[in-house]
Amino acid sequence: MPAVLQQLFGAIVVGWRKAVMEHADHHPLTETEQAIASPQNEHEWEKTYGCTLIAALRTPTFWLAFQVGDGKCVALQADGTPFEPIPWDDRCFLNKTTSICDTDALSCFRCCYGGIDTAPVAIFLGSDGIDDSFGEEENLYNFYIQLAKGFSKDGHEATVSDLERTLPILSLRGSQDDMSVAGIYDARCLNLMPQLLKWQVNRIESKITAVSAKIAQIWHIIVKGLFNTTDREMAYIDLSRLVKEKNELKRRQNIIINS
Amino acid sequence: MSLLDETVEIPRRTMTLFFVIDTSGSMAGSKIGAVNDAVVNVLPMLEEISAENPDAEIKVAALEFSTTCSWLYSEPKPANEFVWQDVQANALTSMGAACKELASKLSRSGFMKSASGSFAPAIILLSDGAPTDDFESGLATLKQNNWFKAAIKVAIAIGDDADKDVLTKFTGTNEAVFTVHNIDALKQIIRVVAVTSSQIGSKSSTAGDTTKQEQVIAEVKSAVDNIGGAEVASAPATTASYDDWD
Repeated sequence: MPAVLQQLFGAIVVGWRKAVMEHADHHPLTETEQAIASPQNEHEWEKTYGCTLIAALRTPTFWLAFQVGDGKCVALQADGTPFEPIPWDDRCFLNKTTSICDTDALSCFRCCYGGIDTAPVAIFLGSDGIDDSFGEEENLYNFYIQLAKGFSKDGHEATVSDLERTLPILSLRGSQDDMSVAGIYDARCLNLMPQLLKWQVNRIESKITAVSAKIAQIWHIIVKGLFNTTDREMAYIDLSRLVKEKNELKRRQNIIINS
Repeated sequence: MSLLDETVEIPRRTMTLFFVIDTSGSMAGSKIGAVNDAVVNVLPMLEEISAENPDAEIKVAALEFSTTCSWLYSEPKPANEFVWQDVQANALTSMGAACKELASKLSRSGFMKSASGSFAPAIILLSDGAPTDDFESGLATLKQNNWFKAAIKVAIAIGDDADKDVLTKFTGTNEAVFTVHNIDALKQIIRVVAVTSSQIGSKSSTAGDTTKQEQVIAEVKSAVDNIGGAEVASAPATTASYDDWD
């Protein structure tokens, strides 16, 4: 990682801890808060300020995104394809996450960056309440595609208002967690409507293909079962015929023996 | 245009309940019959818990192991779609192989979805004997698995011949190993463990010190007090066996 980024992340951690200490001095934990936080020792009190961080910036010459902990950063390529530019940290799993209050917080920073010619057309940042509502990444990507479509079709103000109305509904129907969304997009994003619609159509087509394959598999099992039934019925018919033939031969045999 | 139009899916989170069932030869007869009966009877209860829970959908997966191991279905099924197929007992106890098989499915390429859309799974291991294969190697593989680390793990020791040390290693604590000595106790404990694990496992975590596994253990322990022929494995050992499997 470039030294300048290490300096930046170090300054963020130091600044955060300083702000935490100032806040703690002026707002000591209440008895109720202490009962919930229950720090194991005096050095763990900072963890009551546990906090994840996700940020992105773009200048005329470069772009940068970085993260500590959970939440997801989703960006759009020039052709509208969504992707996650910041590498994932496997220590963030289910309800566990790294935090800028961790003692090794500096080692928890993940980042991506590049020259302006490589900048995504849009970068969206969402807290874990957002991605927890969608489960599979494709569903999360689709939400941000919807957001980008909104900027393209309805404009910035209307889409931000729509987002403000939407998040409480999404929280209620989804993760029931707090939610924050931020983003950067450029003029190219406003002309992406055909590509974004194409991505959504492709997604639905993939689902149709998967469901069709499942139906075909079920039919295969049913047809196989029918054939099995038919085979069994044919075997019984054969058995019945053979028994009849044997009985007839026995009858003839008895006639000969008795004559 | 609404951000949440018909193209946007907000699925319920998923909590998968795994049954890992010893179907070795010693399970033949009344034990395996009781397991089959108990699981059939508990499935409608899981369906009810799932239907009433806005937080999560409960799915069920079942792995049986004897000389080999196999899944009853190729994917976890919603409780209402899971049709139990009676398992048959025979041959050896390849618990190590079962651990490896479980580890392979506790992954995104296996049975699990994105961690974002999931609760930690609940895993119920039932066994009446000791492994006949390399259990330690299988468990070592399983213990590397993040889903297993986060899972609610409970074991049911069926009778005094069950190797409780092995089951303790699987669950991580002897508090999560419950011993049963007769058919009725086996049926009741399967129901209690499956229902409790599903109820607690499919709820969002709340602030506090107790893990979901600890919450399940506490509830099952209190239920065990009222089940004749069942006990917590960590309880003081009785002087004589009182198994009754006839």
